Amino acid sequence: MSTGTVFDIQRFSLHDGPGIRTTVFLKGCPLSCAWCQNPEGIDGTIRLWNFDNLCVGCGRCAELCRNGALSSTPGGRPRIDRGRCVRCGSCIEECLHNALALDGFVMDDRALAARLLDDRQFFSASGGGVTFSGGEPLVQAAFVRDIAKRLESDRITVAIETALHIPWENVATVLDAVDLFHVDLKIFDPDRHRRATGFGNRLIFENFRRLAEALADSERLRVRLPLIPGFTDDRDNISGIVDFIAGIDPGLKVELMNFNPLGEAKYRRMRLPYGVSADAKPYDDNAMRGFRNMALERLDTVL
Amino acid sequence: MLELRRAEVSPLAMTRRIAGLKERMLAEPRYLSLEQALIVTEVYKRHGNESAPRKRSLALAETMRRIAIAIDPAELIVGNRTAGVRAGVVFPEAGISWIDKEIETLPSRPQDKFNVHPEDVATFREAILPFWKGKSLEDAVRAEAGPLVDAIGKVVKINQKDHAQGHICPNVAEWIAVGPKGLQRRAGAKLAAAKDREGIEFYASVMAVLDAACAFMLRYAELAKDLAEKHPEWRDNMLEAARICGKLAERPADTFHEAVQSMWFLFALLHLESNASSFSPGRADQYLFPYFKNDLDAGRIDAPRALEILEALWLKFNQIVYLRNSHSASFFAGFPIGFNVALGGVDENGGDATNELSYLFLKAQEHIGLPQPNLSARLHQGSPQALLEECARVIGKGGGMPQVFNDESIVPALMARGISGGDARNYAIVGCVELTATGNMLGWSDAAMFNLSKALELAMNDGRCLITGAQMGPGTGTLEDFETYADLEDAFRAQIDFFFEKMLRACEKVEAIHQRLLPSALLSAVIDDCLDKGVDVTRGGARYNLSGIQAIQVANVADSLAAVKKLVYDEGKIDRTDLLRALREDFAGSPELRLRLLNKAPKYGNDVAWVDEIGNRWISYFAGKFEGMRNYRGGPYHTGLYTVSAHVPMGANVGASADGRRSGAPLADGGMSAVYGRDVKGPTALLKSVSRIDSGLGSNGTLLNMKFLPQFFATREGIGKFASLLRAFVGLRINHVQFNVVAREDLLAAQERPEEYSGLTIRVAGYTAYFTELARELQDEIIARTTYEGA
Repeated sequence: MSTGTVFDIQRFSLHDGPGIRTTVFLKGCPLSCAWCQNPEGIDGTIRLWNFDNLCVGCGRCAELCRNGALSSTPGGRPRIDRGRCVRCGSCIEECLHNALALDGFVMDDRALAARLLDDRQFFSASGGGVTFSGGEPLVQAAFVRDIAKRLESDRITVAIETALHIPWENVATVLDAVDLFHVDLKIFDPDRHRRATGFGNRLIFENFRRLAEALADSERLRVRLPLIPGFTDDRDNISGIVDFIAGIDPGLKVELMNFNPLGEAKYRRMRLPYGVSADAKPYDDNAMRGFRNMALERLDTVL
Repeated sequence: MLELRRAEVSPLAMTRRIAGLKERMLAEPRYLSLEQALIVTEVYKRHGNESAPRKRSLALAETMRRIAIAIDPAELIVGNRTAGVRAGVVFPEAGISWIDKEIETLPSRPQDKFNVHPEDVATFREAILPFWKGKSLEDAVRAEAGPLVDAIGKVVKINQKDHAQGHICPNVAEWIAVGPKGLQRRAGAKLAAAKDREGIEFYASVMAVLDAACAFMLRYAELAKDLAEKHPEWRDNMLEAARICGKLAERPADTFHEAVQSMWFLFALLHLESNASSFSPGRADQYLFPYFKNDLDAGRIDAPRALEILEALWLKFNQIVYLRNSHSASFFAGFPIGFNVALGGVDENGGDATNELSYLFLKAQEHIGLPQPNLSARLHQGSPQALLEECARVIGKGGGMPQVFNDESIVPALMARGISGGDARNYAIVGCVELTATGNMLGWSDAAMFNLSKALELAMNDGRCLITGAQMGPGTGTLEDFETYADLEDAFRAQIDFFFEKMLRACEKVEAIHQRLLPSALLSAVIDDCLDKGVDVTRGGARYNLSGIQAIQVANVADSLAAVKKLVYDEGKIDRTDLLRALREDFAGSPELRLRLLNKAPKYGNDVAWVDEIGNRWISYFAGKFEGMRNYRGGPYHTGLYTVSAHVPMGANVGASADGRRSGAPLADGGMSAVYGRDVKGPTALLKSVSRIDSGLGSNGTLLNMKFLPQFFATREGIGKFASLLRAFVGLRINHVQFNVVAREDLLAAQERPEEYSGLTIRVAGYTAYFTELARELQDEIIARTTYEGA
């Protein structure tokens, strides 16, 4: 039995592996990528948030809080003192506008596995299953393994989305339990990687090499290359990553992930600074074709 | 073999001929038509003392011989019930008082306009209206059942009060195989052996209308011959039409083209007889297939030619429209008349029945893209992946078709109503979503709609209407009096019981009047076993005689009771007195209480088992009351869960409810759907919730609406995943679903009224967002993109 911290469970996920899937977002990530789509998943602790777009500034939550963690501000919105918040949830229960929420919850593997069976009919009809994402799901590797083992007994396949910035032991923990690994390789140059994510990339590329060897079956491994304007989309970077992959196995499947501008809304809602230029747009078909051709110079399959 | 044919079908384009016919049809102005009404009135005057069956058959026969006809020389399939296409036919036998009120505004009303020839206004008022006073179905219902119908009107809407019933699927296969002459001979043999007066009259009526039907076809043969002379460019086409029409008047069809023409004549003629909504072609891919196969084997036809014939038929389905009053037109906009065509499904042994025509039907739908036919795909566990994907692809084009039906749940549901296994496996759909056996059943599927939401309102308020204060139901106490949730349930049951009994009596009265005034000889000739029994279809001549009552609306009932149970009785967060006052005041003084009802109680549609089960329990209670009851034709009642558009007017009758709904606001749409915007866990959770409502309770038909964005269908992978969703739907044993591919307009509406669209999600790589939570500029960007992807 193990417990983990989850920040979302997304049913009917269509882009996180084959078929119709349920994606479990696990909290906590050692990296802090400037473009992170799920900034609430970076911090491993559970925190209280107030949402601008829903809050009407009625002040009820500040009155209700017994710990003084919430105080009314002149603008009406509550100020949250996270040092005082004990995450009891009573303000959330009483916020009639649903404008307060914790950004995560703790579950044990048995309860979560049971919940993931909700869509089993859809998994079996579509060849889908469960995907662990994050955050960095391998921060909670034992939890992932325990759930995956439970799901295996129900014949549900498990995929994972990882950046591999994690000790190899964590990867090894899930090696036999996870059916499909999606690995993000973002930036080839270590210094640039450090500037964009907070860390260099030696551990990531080392882990990747070991993972490719350990899996043997290249069908169990997918590389994802996120295309982020100004961060990952230059020729040097793409060919650096592609050359590295080809050096291991040119038959590995690589997926180019078009930039998705919708993350910006989340940052605004959470009042966090967004690292990508606010007017960045997804690449058009032409540009995507250019990236694809670049990758195909060294690789057999680019998705 | 099948794969080869599919490869042939997919690149086929619409021909110039079909495009031209479509364009001319849509450009032709629509007119009110009194022609048939004048003929019928004349015959009824002339034969004033004769019986209804005789008058009806004489009037129909005379109409078939006299009514003006027209052909577009480019047509492959000919025939209509009026010379003009899409005419608004006045049918005085059923009811015309509304036309008297609205005839001047028909050309200018907001929805479904019809032109009116100026002289027709006087003709209608002088030559038609006075004669029918007191003689029409509508007048008889008002005289004999009016007070009863009105007394329960806010809770139960009794239907079929002013028009012929329709909603029936004739035995088209038999009609094509035997032809009107063959059926006439059959009736003749029966007539010779008949002894009682009623039987003799019935068979004589059948023979008279079939004889006139042959004459009707010969008139088309003659006209086509004339046109062949006048339009040399279409000479061969018109000569072939003349040959086919002439042949069908004498002998049954042999070729595919002849079979389709024969089928269409039947539907034109049935509309001449009854001007009713929905005579359903049913499983046309099954009964047309032998003709197609023969032609194919003989080298007489190829896929492009077959498709062109089908598309000509698809256009024909749009040429007969239903004239509704302005109130009805605002809810059933676009003159729906319910040519419901089914494709795919199981065969008589439970194997897969999909064939090449199933795919051609989908292609025709994609090309024509008009409101009719109402195309329905029947799916089951053994449906081929190719069919699922082709359905997904056509659904992705928008337009909501094909809608999808589930053999795995519908076949057992119909068998539980006493329909044989073979007949249940051969089910068809009538109207929008109503289920029927093929060619042998009068389902009377729209007998009444029972507004459970209104009954629940009365249960909360001592039987009094929250809107008017009028005492409508029995005094069963108010919410203040109910110490426990079980007390509320008792009151709800008492309110349902009170209206239930009255509803049955009203339904019987309406049916009795239909039997008396609208016997239908032609329809009886194509419904088994009317000819064998010598009994008209309205009198119970069909093999199966059901009546369908709709239970309205599971989502609102489940959400309201769940909110009361949790917030009032389990948690004590809301005081009973406060809730009752809030409902009486339509939440005017208690916005916070309303927010709590909305946001702090779980809702149907989110895979919350206990909430969904409340819905199932009440639908079960209601449906269970029909056990052992017999309708006026001696058959069973059963229940349906659909409203189509009636959730709007029915909601207008219901005061504020405990699900947070304001007084007069629409109920949940469809029938099985969640309340708009309250299902926020995605499509799989919604389908799970719906699957908790026992599909056997919806044997009369159910309706579930789901919305998707066009981008979902943009890739092969997306179409594959959608097909998987259909597969899962089949496995969950949900009777029906139809997909609204959310268009640009919907997204614009979501910007204007975000509260109604809170469940609308945008799915793009790796990330899902609620549309209404996105910033305006991003929404605009998505709208721009969606428009592009939807094109």
